[in-house]
Amino acid sequence: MTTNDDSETDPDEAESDDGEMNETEPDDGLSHPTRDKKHVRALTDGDYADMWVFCETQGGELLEVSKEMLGKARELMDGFEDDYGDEEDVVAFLMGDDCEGLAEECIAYGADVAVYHDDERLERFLHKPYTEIAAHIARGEGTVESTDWREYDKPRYILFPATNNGRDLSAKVQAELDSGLASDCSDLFIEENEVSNPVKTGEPGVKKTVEKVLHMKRPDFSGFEYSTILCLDNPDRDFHPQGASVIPGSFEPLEPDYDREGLVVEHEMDLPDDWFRVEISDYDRLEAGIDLTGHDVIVCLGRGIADDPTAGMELGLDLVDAFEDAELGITRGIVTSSYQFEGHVEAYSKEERQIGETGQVVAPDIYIAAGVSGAVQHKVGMDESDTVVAINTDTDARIRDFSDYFIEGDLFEVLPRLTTAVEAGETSLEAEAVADGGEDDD
Amino acid sequence: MTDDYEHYEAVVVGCGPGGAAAAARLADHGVETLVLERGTEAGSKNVSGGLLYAEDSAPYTLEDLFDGVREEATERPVTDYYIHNVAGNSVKTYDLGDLHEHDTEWCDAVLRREMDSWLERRVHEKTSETGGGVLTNVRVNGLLREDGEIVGVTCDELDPITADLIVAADGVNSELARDAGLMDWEEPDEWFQGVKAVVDMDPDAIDDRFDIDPDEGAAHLFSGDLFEDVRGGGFLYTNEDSLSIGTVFHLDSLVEQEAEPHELLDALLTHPLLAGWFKNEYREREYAAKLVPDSKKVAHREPYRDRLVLVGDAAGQMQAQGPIIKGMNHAVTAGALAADAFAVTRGNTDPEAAGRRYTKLLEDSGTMDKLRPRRYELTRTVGEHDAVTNAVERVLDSRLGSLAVGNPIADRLLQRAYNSPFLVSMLPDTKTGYVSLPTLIAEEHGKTVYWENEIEPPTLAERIGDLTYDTDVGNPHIELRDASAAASGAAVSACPVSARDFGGGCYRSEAVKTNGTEETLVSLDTQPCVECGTCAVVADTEWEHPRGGKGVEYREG
Repeated sequence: MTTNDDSETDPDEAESDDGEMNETEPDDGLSHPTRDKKHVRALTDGDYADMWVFCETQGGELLEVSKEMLGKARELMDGFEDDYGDEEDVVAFLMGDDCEGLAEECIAYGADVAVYHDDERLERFLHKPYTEIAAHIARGEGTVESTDWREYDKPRYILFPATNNGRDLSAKVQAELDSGLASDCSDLFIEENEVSNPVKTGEPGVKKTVEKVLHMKRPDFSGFEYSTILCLDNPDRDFHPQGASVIPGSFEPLEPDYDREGLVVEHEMDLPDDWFRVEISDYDRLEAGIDLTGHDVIVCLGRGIADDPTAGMELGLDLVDAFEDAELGITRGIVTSSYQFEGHVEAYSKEERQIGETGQVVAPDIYIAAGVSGAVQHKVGMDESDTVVAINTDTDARIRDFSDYFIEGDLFEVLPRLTTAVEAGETSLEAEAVADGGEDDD
Repeated sequence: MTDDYEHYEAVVVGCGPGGAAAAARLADHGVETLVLERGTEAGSKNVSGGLLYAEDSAPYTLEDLFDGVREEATERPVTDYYIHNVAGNSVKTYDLGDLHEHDTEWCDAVLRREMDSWLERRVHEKTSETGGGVLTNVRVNGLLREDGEIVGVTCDELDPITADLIVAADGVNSELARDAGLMDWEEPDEWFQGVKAVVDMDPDAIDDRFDIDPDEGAAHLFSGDLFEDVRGGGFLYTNEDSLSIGTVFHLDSLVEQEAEPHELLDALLTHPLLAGWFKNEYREREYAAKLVPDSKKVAHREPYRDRLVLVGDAAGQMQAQGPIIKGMNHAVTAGALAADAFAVTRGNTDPEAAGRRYTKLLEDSGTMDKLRPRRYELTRTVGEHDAVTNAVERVLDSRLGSLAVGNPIADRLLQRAYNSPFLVSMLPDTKTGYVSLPTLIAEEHGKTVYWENEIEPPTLAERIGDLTYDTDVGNPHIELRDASAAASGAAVSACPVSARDFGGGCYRSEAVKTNGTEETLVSLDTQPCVECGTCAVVADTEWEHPRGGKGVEYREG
C-alpha cells in the first residue's frame, strides 16, 4: 500500500476547480461546461468560521461515528487556535424527534455549540426536510434568537458521517451551499496550500498561498492509493464550507465530559407539509447476530458430537467458559444436521455460529477443533489461526494436515480434561503427536 | 397477449447443444431469439458422459449448424472402440468398431465447458443479429400462463418474458417440462446416473499408451462383475490432454444394491486393466455427476404443450442401449427441428402448431425410432419379465450356460452380436446383458491381467473440496420433505456426493434420540450439491435448481 499525498508533491494536482472534488486536469475549455454557471446564492469574499459536524442519530442515540467526528473536530480546532491564534468553535448540528438531550451530549463529546431542530416528523431520515433544515441552519437563517450566537455567512468547514444517510445528506447539503464534497475520507488536517492554478489565483504565472485549508484524505482503489482533496475558493466565487464525509471508525471519540459547558441552541423554522410527502410506513432493524471474530480462543464443534449432541455442546461451552476470552463456533455439518439439542444449548446450534466458507472467518490465537473433519469449506474459515488444536478419533482426519497439535481421542473424554487443565492452569496431557503440516502462515 | 412483459419471438432456456442448435436455427430463420442460461457460462452446469456423434441419417449435426466446432471446441475423434468384459482379473475384449461406425459420419469426445461455452459465443453472435442474444446467470424457474395457456417464462432474476415459442433445453431436471406436466421424477428405472472423473494425461502419453496417433482417439467400455451387480458399465474416452473415465448405471439398480457411486467409479479406476494406461500416475482434475434419461422409456412422444416445446434431455431424448450412449446428437437434431417447425408454422394462430409440426419432424426424420425403438417395446414385455430373467440367469449360472458361451463358435457369434445395432437396440434392461453375460464371457474367454494398479483415487471429501461452488447462503435449492430413512434414506448412498458414515456430503444418516426412543433420520446440506437430480427421484424432496450463477460450477464438464 502506498500513500500518494498529492498536496505535498504537486500542489496543482490537488486543487479543485469550480467546486468539483476531483484532481484537476488541464483546462482545455471543454472539460467544465458549467464553470460559468451563475449560482443565485454565490458569495464572494464571504465571512466563514467554525467547523460544523452533522451528528446523525438512530433510535434516539448518537451514532458512534458522530462522536468520532466531534472528537476529531475538537482536535482540529484546538490546533487551529494554536496555529492561527483565532478561536473558532466546533458546532454540532442535529435534528430529530426530542433531540435536545442529544444536543447536550454533543457538548460532552467536544462541541462548543450544538444546534438542533426538534420535530416529531424528523424521527427518521427524510431527504427533503433534512437537507432544507441543514442548509438553513448553516446559512444562519432563522429567528434572531436562534442565530445571534454567530456572525459569519457560512461555516468554514463541515463534516458528515459516511453512512448511507450521511452520504445522501452531505451531497445535497453541499449542493445547496454551493460548495464541494470529498466523500469517504479517512483523515483530515488543516494546513496552508500554495496554488498556481490561474483559476484559483486569478492571473497566470502567479503563486498564491491560501491559509486554513482543510486537507481531506481518502482511499482510492480500495485503499491501494490515497488522494488528498482540497476545496479552494475562486477569485470571484467562494466554495465554503469545505466539506467531507468521514468513514466510520476513522477517528477515536473523546471520553465524554458531562461537566463541559457549551451553548445549546434550538433552531426555529417552519417546515412545509410538502417536505413530508414521502411517508415511511414501516421499518426494521437488522439483527446484530453473533460475531466470532476478535476472540483469543475459539472452540469449534463438528459432527463428532453425533453420539450425544447436547452433551457435546455442553462440554464445548464448559471449555469456552474456562478461557477468559473465548467463543463457541460450529461447523456447517451441525447446522444442517438432524441432531436434537435440548433447550438450554439449542441456541448454539444455529447458522450464525457457523465457521467456514458459508459462515464466518476467524483467526484467533488458539483454535480448538473438536470432532471436526477438516473439510476444505471449513478450512477457509479458520486456517489463519495462530495455533490449531484438533481433537479427533480419526487419525486420518483431514484437519490433522493443518493442525499444530493433534489429540487422538474421543472429544467426550478429551474436552473435560482440557477444561480442567485450563482452569487449573496446567496440564497432565502428554503431547501424543505433533501433527503433520501446521505451518504458521504468519 | 399482455402488454406488461417484455416479448421475444422465441425464448430458448438452456444453452447446451440442444438449446444452441435451436437458437442458431431460429436465428437462421430470422427469428428474434433470447437465450437464457442459468450457469455463469454455458457448460458450467453440464457433464458429458457420452460421445458427440454425427450420424449419417440425422437431419442435422452440430457441424452443420456451427462451422468449425470440431476444430475449435471438441476433443479427439474416436477411431478405436472396444468393450471389455471383466470377471475379476480376467478380461475379454471385443472390438466394437463396426457398431461404432454404423451410421456414423464422425464422433468426437467432448468436454462440455469448453464446447458449450464456445457454442454460447457463436449463438450470441447469431441471435444478436436478429434482435436477441444470450443472457447467463439467469435461472428460469417456471412457465408464465395466461388463461391457462403457456405464453412465457418466469425467472428468478428478471421479470417474466413472453414469447411465441418457448424451447425448453434446460436439461434432464427440466423445470419447464415438469411445470408443463410433460415429465416427472416418479420412477427410478427411467433414469441413469453417470459419474465421471477427468484425469490429467499428456497428449504424448495418450498416443503411446492407447496406441493412437495425435489426431486419433479411443473409447473403451467396461462391463462385468466390476460393479457389485449394479446394472450398467464404465467408459473411458481420450481427450486432447486428459481422459474422461466414468460409470453409467441404472438408477433403480444403484438403489436396490445400495451401492455408492464414487466407490463404483473407484472400482473401475483401480482395476488392473487400467494399470497399463495409468502406469501408477493419477491426477484427477474434476469429479462430476449427472442424471440421464432413458429415452426408450421416457422420451416424450409429443414433447410440447401450447407454445412450449422440449428438446434434448428435457424431453428424455437420451439413447442408452447397452454400449450405445447417444444424447448430445439427438439434442442437436431436436433443437434444430423445433426451430424449423416454428419457422414453417409461424403464421398459424394455433399456439400448438409448432409443437405438432416438431413432433411430426421427429417422427419423419427417424429420430423418434432411435429414441424409442419399436422392437424394444415389443420384446421388453417378455425380456424384462422376472420369470424369464430368472430362467435365463439360472441357465447362465449352470454348466450348460458355461458350455454354450464357452465354445469357440459362441465367441465369434458374440463378437457379431455386440456389433449388431439391431440386437443392441433390443437389449432388455436386466442384469443378464449388463452383468451376468459379460462376466461369463470373461470367465470363459478372458485373459488374465497381471498388471498391478497402485493408484489412489481422491477421497470423496477431496473431490468435493476440489469442486468450485458459489453457495447461495441461506437459500438451499433442495428441501427435504420427509427426513425418515424409509422415504429418503436411499439418497445417502445413491447421491454421488454423499456416502454412509460421511458427514461432509449432501445426505447424511443420523441416529436421533428423542424421548427415550431412537430413530434414524436423514439430513441434507446442499452446499456440496452437484445438481445431478438423483435425490429428486430417490428421496422425498422439493427440488429446484439454484439461482442463476449459484451452486456448482464445472470447469471441465
